[in-house]
Amino acid sequence: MREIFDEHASYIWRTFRHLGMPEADVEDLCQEVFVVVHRKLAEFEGRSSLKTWLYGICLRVAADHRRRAHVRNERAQADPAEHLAAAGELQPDVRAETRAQLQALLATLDEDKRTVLVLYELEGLTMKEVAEAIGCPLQTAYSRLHAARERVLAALSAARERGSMP
Amino acid sequence: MNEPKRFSDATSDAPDELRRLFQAGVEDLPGEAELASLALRLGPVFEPPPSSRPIKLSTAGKVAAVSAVVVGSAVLFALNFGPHGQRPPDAPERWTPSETPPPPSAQALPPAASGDTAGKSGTPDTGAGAAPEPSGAASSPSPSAGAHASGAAARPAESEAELLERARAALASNPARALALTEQDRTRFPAGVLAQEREVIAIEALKRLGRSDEAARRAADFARRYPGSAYRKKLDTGRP
Repeated sequence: MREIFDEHASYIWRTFRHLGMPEADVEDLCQEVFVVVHRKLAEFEGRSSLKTWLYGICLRVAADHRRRAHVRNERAQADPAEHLAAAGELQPDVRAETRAQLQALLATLDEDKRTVLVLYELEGLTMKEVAEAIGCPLQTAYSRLHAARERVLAALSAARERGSMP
Repeated sequence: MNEPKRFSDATSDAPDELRRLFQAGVEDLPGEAELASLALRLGPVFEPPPSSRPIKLSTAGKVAAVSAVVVGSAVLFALNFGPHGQRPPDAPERWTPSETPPPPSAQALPPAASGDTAGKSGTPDTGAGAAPEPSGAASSPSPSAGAHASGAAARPAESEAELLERARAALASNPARALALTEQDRTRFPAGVLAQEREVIAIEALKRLGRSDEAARRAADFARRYPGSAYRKKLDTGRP
């Protein structure tokens, strides 16, 4: 477990951020992931890579968090302003404005497209790994990626026209 | 099917602004403090599973164990296949939300850092462990001193994670005390599973105390001992 933490904890944390989870909940969500990993590791059969398996657990924890927040009528997604504030408080070395701008772009995507874009563009998974982690056909993952990239490019253009992107 | 070049790739045809944003997103990893806080909450999870420890049973013990397994299996069967229960399909590599663990606070893990407020807000550590430490904070106490010298600070059943959580919480308000607590941890848990977190806290305490040479030496030693650590990247950047 220690080795898995050392190798993957930072990326799991980053994934939750980019999936739009509220900054205040990210640590709890990471803990949930490792508790599940601890419980399930003995059953992991290696049909997929450990990395893909971990991202699959992340996605389900995130989805479940959204559902729980919905039931409680709470926000399940962070808004970019929160990321701006959190970055300023917790990591003064991170360019908070940049994070907020990226989150604003990602927030223009629905959950399916955002997930594919985050795993491919920011987590560096191959498209085959993305499809495995999500549990969808490879072609579907490609379609979502294509649509997500188009949407992000359009959102960037719109932001420039509004003057909200330098 | 060819994968498109990623937006963050320097050779992609993405607009410069998009490339910059995605490159920053790739680099947006958690800080040491965030990782250490998570690791301390996960402390028990890092322990080797009990099943990996050899268990010696007497003949009577073996009979009792077999009986327990038989009875337990019967109970499980009744629960899973009885009139009120239906066992879900077992899909070990496809974890589903129905298996969501209870909220962290409800599990047998250390509670979410109650001392966080001290660490984050700068509130002085006024808990039971707030007794003044000897001035030689970095000196290692004797084994017995680790358990008794600080009086109420050393609760008999305090776990490694709890002790280090106190050290982490003291960082902002009293780095000397934080450093002393890491030394106490080293004495009490020489083979602890949270040795990395102990070092991360100690290095940060040394920096805050202005002992930058010691901090740098200890960071270099950390890099040698834990080349694959999650903290490496952040430690390498070495904030002044």
